[in-house]
Amino acid sequence: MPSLKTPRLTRRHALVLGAGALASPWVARPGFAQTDAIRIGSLTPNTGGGSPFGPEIAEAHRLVVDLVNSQGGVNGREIILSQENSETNPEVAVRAARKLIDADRVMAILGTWSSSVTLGVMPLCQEANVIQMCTSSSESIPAGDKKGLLFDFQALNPAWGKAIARLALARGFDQIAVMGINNDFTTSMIGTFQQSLEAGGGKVVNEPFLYNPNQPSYRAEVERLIAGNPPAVFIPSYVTDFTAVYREIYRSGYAGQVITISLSTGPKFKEAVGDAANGILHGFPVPPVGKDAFDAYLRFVGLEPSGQVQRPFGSAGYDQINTLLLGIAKAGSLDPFEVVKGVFAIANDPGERVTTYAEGVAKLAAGAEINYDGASSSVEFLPNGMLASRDFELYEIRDGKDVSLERITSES
Amino acid sequence: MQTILNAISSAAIIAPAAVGFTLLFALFRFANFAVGALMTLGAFACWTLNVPLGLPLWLAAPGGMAGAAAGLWLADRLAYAPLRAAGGATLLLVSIAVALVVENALRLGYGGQIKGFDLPLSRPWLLGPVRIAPEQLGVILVSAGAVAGVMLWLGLSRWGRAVRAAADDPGLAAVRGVPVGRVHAAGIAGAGALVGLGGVLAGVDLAIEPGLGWALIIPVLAAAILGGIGSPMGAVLGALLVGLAEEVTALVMSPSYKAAVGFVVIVLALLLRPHGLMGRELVRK
Amino acid sequence: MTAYLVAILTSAGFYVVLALALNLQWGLTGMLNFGLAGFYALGAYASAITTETAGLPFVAGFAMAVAVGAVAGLAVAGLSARLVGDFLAIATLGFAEIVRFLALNEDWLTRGPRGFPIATRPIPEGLSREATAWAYLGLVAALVIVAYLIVERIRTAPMGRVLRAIREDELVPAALGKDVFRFKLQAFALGAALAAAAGSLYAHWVQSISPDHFTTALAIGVWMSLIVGGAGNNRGVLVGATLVMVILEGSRFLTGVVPGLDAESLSALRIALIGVLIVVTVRFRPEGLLPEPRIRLETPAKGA
Repeated sequence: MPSLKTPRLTRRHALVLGAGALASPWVARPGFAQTDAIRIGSLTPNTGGGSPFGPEIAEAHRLVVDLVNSQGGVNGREIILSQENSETNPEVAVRAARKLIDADRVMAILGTWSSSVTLGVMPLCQEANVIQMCTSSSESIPAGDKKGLLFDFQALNPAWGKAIARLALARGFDQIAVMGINNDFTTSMIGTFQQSLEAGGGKVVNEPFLYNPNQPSYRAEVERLIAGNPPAVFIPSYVTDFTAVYREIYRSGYAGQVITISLSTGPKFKEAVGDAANGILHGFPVPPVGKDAFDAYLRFVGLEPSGQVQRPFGSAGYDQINTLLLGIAKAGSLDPFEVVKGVFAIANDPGERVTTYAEGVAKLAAGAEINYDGASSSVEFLPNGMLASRDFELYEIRDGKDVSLERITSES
Repeated sequence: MQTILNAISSAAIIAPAAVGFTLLFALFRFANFAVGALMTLGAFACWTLNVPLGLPLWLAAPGGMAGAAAGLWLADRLAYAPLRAAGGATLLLVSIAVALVVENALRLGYGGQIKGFDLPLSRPWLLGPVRIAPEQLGVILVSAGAVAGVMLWLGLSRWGRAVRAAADDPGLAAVRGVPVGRVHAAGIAGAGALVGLGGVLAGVDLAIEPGLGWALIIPVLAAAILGGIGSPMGAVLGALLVGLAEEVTALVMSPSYKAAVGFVVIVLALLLRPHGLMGRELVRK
Repeated sequence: MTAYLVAILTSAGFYVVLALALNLQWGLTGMLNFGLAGFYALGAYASAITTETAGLPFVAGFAMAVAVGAVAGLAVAGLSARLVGDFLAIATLGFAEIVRFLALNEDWLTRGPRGFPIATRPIPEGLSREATAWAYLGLVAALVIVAYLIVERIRTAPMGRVLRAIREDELVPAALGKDVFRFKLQAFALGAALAAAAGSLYAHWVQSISPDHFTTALAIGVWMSLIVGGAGNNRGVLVGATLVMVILEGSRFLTGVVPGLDAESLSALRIALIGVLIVVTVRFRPEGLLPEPRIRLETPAKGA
């Protein structure tokens, strides 16, 4: 099944090879009994605003499930993964989640990305006792999880604001103008950024403001941001809008320091703007470039570790499916509340460090306690399902590469 | 000054597609929402020639225009032409469906990751208090040239006049011996090329991705309607006004309301001039 | 599976009410309303604010939604009813965008992009999951029936004839001494109120709303329902909305049988397929599956 080994080529190859690929899933399926299968749903933003990130999450879920199935499943049970597209739209996502829960009978929904989708499907999951694993950073997420069924693989956004403010101050920038994309992700990040900056003796110049994505031009926003020529600007954003915003900043002749988050400065951004990307500072909680678990993930999905921040959400998707499967293996049951306990047990201290499902399940079988250390973070959860802490790293783009400047651990 | 220049830069991207949109409306009497997706198609066609195949951008851009025109022609053959007799709203809906097909065909072929032309960013020239980047100037000149070219073609050439005649009153034009079928083909080619060019110009500023068109269709539509639908000159004027309204809003008010204020300006303008700035009432059907 | 079908039918119910509202405004009266999602959002938020922020029961939220929808409908129509055709379309599209921006930016009222959780439910607490799903379906069905009866009553009443006359040519009813402006206002405001009522019930069904719930994508689905079903024909609207929901949701199962594609390609394929199905449906039934009865006055037996 070549499509598994070379996922980046799947699309084109599958179209060409169409007929050949047609038979393979049935050939590849080992002889599991259907009745005791583990049913898992994956709901990712494959189109719409999240489309630069959704496919990598979906791919990680799929590849891990195929691998574990080929090794005999979890406790001898086959995993059936149902994948749906949220279209980055909660109205659609609710219907897709209904299908996953009521038609596919999944026990968990993994991979929701924007907070509006995570929160949108949360009432359904709570009602049906379905576990949620997401990468959303809205502060209102823990409050909605009344039953304790949710794990968030992303640091909540206040943590980001604090970390980036500290790093900016450390680099000697204390006068910073701020604008961000208008969503829940940035609004509280900007608030905590401002507080932390001011606490450290810095100041946000100009009034911070939000812009809407999907605009035909961002010129007016950039004019407003760089009015008075502040020494540095901070722009929490996503890659699609940041690419346009950054071109505008560069073409406006602004010579100050541009600071953003690493979501916006992936390999595709660097390809799109070329050498002009050099000098940008960006910070991010995931993935820890150079960490063995992250490199192993990259190789697993067919990429070479390049010393750059890549697959920021795919690595989290990889950790989601690994921790869930290990949690099920640990719990030895499909009862969602038992599985949640299992996830806490395998993800948090104490235990022997493991970085893959196979490694973890072997140690569990030997009767050991394990502590899953992930590709996106160390995956330690607070009792409310939020990440306990996150390594936060600041990078500078030099010669088209991310060069690490400093690493700090920020508490949620 | 800078604000005005910025408004012109924004308008330069919107104007060719708005002229294309308004031409299509004049010829076929429906708001073709697939124009946004066809802009995306133009940008992708140009990108394919420019980046993987390594052609310089000025050579790749006509490829983008041809790509969009071919896409429009195909959409017309398969979806619009069989429905010429149907109402404007039906065709509008079909055009949205076409947009969904085009967007997702691109996604299937290219994936959802962003792309950019092989065009190094450059620092601006300073002309007194005004900054202008070379690419920005290029976009404005190309856009103005293309729009002026189309105006001349419509005004002076035999085919252009035939297109205008067919747009003004298809029945009358047919009676007078204008070959309406071939005129439609010419209109599709011209409008498609303009739309494709708009996509290429947008790709210079924005990130190229399959959903790009949805960011562009609303301002294109707004410019065409504000200018008076069916009037190419009006579409250009409309693009300028929409650009200006948005720039000024973002500077004096919250940028969060930029697009909303754009709409308010359009609605106010329409209340004063119900057929748009330069529009006349079109003969329907 | 039953629970899924119940949920999808409930979703379809909201589309039906919205499509009926649109049928009143556009199918009968010829007013192009692209801002339907705005009125839907207004109803949802009005209801959410009434029940959650002000702590009143669902009935009050529902009433508030209807009232706000009607007032907004009157205001929008009053301002722009003189605009014709596509110009009205852009004005109403602008209205929907403004509502979405307000919901996005006025955090203090709408909780902004973070989303608005809604705890108040119009059905008794403590029902089983299955029973809850059926109860909501019952409520939506009731709303569908009421909306259908209202719009159908108008269609067959003298008012419906005036509205259709306005649709065909405003000058004719005006020449006959009808107050065209007032009729348009009524039709538009009533449609807006229906959309807002649907929004209210929707908000308490999904229990969490955000500006992302009310995008143009939703309006497109409703427009599809109307045109696929048959504009002007209320039974056609029922058929159309159900069929559109079958296309939207059924395509999930259809693409499930295409092996060898990654999730992204499957998603793209599915949406492209939705587009193709719409083009094909309209191509072969341009008047909709159940076209409007053409000459109702001469042959009343064929209509209704």
